[in-house]
Amino acid sequence: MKKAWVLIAFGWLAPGGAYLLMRRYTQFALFAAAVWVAFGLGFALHGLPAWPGVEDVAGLDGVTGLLFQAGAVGQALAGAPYLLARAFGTPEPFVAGRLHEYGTTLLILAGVLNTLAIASAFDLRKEGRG
Amino acid sequence: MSHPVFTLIGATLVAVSMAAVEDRTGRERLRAGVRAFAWSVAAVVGGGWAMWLIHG
Repeated sequence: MKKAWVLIAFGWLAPGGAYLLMRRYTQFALFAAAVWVAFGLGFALHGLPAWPGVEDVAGLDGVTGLLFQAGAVGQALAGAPYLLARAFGTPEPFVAGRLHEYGTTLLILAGVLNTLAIASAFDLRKEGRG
Repeated sequence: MSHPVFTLIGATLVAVSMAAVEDRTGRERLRAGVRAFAWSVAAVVGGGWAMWLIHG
């Protein structure tokens, strides 16, 4: 059985990777496809993987500012696609991503789906089926 | 991109992921995926109607 932190770290870095470590190839393929497609589509629709700066949340109420930051965390949970987009994407101000809402929403969805993959794999491991 | 197309894309991605969790046979996965897709679309359509009833 793999160590929990290895499962989480690799599962984050490679979408669906937690299942790959557990040799559950169908589940790995389904999650990898869902996360990469969501992130790819989001990026194609000009979604922006960016962290909101202080000036981006200035003047907003606390909840809206927190939601912006939660969205940025959600995108980062996608793992490798997020890191690649950050490394090779054109740097743009955070507000540009808010203008392309469909794309940014899909980027967040990619992170959420990857988190679901890690959580469900972790669950199977806990039940001794991993 | 129109809202319905975006909804269908989102519902498909959620359905694929929901089909992948748990220990299931291929048939069970297909059923779980179709069910998640149908509920996702139904929730959006229902929410849309609710908004229309509230806001007109």
